[in-house]
Amino acid sequence: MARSTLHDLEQRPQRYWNEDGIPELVLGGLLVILGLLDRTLHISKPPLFGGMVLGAVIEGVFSWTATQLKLRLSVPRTGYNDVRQPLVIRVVVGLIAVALIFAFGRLAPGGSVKALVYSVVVVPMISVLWLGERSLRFLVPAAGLVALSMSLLPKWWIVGVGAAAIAHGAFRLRRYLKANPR
Amino acid sequence: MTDLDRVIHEPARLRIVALLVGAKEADFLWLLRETGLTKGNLSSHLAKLEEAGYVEIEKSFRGKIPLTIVRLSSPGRRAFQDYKRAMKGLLD
Repeated sequence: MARSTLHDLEQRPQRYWNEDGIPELVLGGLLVILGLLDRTLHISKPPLFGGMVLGAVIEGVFSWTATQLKLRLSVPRTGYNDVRQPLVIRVVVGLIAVALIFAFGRLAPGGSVKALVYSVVVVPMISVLWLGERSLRFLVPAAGLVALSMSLLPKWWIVGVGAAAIAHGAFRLRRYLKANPR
Repeated sequence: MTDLDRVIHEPARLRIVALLVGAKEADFLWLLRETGLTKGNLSSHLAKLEEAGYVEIEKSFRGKIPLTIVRLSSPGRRAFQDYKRAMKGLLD
């Protein structure tokens, strides 16, 4: 057995988490809801701490919803595994997320409102794309998508990113369900 | 070759252990799909790994369907790391 194959096997549980497109679908749904709330309620300057708490709550909702969908759709088809994420990786990703939230919060003209928005976007994005796939290459198209949406849809970019995530997630889920009938 | 752990060195068992390294726990169906082994083969290899103390197996039911959950134990995790080191030493 080649070393690269052994390495692939070790990474397999992480890749399996994203195989069915459910995480993207849920993340996209949350972003669309958040974007619509932001546009309709015109949330104004909540404190940064509140933004971070909301980010954590949204991540909790994201994990719970994705897990429930997986238990109903993926587990009966292709089995169950619970990904092992070493504490050190969680701490590093958490620190990166907090640093990004503060950096964007300081740079953005809206101050803490933007920090709130970025905290909600960046934390799940890192969780899904990096912790899930354990591959930094997924951050490049994600960052490109965010930049593109911000330039094309300045007021609706969060909804734009969410819609793109839903479309991509739905495509992957359809392909997965087709490949793995009950 | 004398330093290699014979329990892990077998290709099918190495595959099972390598798959379990990245998971807290996994069920039988997932291992079956990922290893490409038959049910009987997988069961027998899991039994050998359990006998060596490298995996923990928990049998229960989800509704009326039998559910087998497999976890790599701490000695199993250590044995896999030792095996990788030994292989690297042999290849370098």
